[in-house]
Amino acid sequence: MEPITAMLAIILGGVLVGICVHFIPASATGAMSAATGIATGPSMLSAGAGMAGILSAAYSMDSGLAVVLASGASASALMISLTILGGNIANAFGTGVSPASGQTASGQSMPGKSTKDVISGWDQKPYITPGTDGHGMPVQTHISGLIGAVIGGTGGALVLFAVYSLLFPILEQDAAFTISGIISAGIFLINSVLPAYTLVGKTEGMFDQKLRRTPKTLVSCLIVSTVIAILIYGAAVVI
Amino acid sequence: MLPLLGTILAGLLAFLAGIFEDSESNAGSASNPNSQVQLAPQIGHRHRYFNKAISGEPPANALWATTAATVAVLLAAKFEVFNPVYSVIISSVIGALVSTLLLGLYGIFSHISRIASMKTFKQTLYWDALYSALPLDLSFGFLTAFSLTLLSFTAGMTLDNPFSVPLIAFMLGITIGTIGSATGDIHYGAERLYQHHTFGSGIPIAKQGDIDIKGEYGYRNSVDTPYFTLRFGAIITAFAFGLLIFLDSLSRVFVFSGAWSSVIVTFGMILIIFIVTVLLEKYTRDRYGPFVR
Amino acid sequence: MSTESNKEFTSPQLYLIALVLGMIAILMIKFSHSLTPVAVILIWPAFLCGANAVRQVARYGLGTGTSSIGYWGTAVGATMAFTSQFINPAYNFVSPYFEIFGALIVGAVTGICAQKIIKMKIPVMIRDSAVLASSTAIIAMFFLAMLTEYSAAVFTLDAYIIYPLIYIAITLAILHPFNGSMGAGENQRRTLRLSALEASMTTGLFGLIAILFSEALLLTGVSVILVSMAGFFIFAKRWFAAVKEDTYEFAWTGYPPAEH
Repeated sequence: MEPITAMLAIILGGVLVGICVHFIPASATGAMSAATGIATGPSMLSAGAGMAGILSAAYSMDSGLAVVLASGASASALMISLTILGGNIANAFGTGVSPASGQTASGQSMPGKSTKDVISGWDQKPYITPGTDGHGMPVQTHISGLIGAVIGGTGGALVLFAVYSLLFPILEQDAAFTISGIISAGIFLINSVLPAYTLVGKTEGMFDQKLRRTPKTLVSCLIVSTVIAILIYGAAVVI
Repeated sequence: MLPLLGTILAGLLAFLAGIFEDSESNAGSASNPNSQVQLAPQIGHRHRYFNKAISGEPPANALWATTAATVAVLLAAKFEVFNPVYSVIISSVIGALVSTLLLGLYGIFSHISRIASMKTFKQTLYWDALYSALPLDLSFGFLTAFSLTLLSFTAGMTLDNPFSVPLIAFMLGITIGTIGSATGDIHYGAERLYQHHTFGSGIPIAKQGDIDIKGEYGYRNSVDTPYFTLRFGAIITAFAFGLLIFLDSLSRVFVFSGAWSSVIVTFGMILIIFIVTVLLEKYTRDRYGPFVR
Repeated sequence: MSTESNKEFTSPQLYLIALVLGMIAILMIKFSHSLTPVAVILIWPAFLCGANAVRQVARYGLGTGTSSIGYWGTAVGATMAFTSQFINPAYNFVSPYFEIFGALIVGAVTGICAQKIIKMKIPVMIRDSAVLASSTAIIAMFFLAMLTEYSAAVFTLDAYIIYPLIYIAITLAILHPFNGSMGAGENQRRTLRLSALEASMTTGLFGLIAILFSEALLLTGVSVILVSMAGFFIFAKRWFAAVKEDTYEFAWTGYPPAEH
């Protein structure tokens, strides 16, 4: 990868990371079975999935860009789907509730006034505990989470590969691997917090009205990633 | 043979780490359910929980794992003359001890400081609530850091991850913290803290903070919590994290279509997990039925 | 807020102190590595500054946890600090200015994005994001200088092993003082005293790492641990004095008053 392409790849990867947070269902009050979504903050959850992706992408660094991106995406998606399965088991047998989307039940989700799950077609409304905002991760949020994890994992792996190709000529191999790993982790963590500002701590994924705010995140992440990419490019290539 | 052996070892260590991590966070009532322990004095429930709010679970676990792994790597380089396996294990123990010391200090500071901030709600600082729960929390913290360090060494040495061991530990720490707070904590936050509420319902927003302050006998303190959550919440965390590490490593054992085989296998696994999740949802809907008051 | 507002430090004041002293500390180590124990004392204000910035931003309720703010700020600061490792040695004179002001810029740009594009309506967002990112860059540069600015020939292992620890240890030391003191009775005095306590703890940890890192850093490591321990005990006493004032009641054991 040419240095200037690598810089553009860092920017693109940062933006992908920013977008992925909008797709992964997350809500901190989920830990009390009081909201739909995985029971932790959006930025933390995306960070966890992204780290799993970067760790897995590192194994295949010698096999070319396409494989690196695919491994990052698949490992992130594996992490998210296992977390959703674990969370649903905890909800089903620990708390005794079945997964239900709060926003769909109240008829305010993206596809319209229907209270049915978009993919499975199951009615959500009767299954919600009154006074809560849904619980667990129904099928539609699971699909959305998988899409988000694939986007985020691709973004993280892209940044890893780009930084590695910037550092490869100037550092020895082991150092280049680890330093590009920590820098891509850093870029992931920076970009996963900006969407959390937009989401105000809770999202149900791509069927949530908050998806309409994605352009704000996109522009913010674009600007921030550009500044970081220029500084990294400056440090690695210019001076 | 070596990759398969490493995969099994990694899966085992990850499973153990998951159990210990969730028990550690529950013993200290960390992460998201901590907001309920924070809310309790505000609505008049003065409690005797160990309020160890170091940070969200991901950064905290990343610190324990990274400290242990960094110390262990530096020490293992000094012990290189001995048998490599022994040197790794001994230095991991010492590294985990260092991180346990950090965990203890951070835990003491946050409990005392958070209770001090509750003056308006007349919350008393009970010393024995801190000192009886702390050793339990520290031992789980030690075991978490130890298993994560060994897991990082396994990933770095037998599975050939190109990252240095502390970086692997850092990333695994963030991931295990995320999984722990997303799966096992539901059992603590939605069931253990609210055992006097009906089983089979989420906790309504209006009821939040109304936590159980009475235990099986006397007032409840945080020592009782892992006793309860170890049976289910910790196992779920271990199941999710152990399976993640095991399946991710296992996918790389296959070589049927070159570098792409691990990706194909992983996506196949994701499809199976998706189907299981859908079946689980159908099962709960059929079995529990709509919500009845 | 129970604090008297006239007594609070503002973040520009703290940042100025942290920047000047931190810069002196880093340059001191670059000048002569034997000055490290003195420089350690000068780096503590940067921890206070970072913790205060977290406090200022997180008090408004961002919709994301305090820990996210902490690791966001350190991600900017530490990532910028790590870029110093691939600057051509011939241009070594740009460090630490390039990294610290780079972090300041990234922090400010993030603050501007949050304020103008996401429209968060937090008046201190731009200022404190920049201060947070920059103070973590100062600390990260200090630790890098402490562990790597020595003659490179004596290393048994490469410095990159330490990077994840530098990142995450600073994160916790920055975010924990506010997160650990959260509650209605939180005030700046106690938070900053806790921050100083944790600053000395973190430098002590890096003293230990320095001892293990290389034979040549043995003396530095021991002296850093001694200085940090002295600071730890002083700050622990100061912090506990503040806790004694703020706590409602201490009890060795007992039951909460009956309410049912």
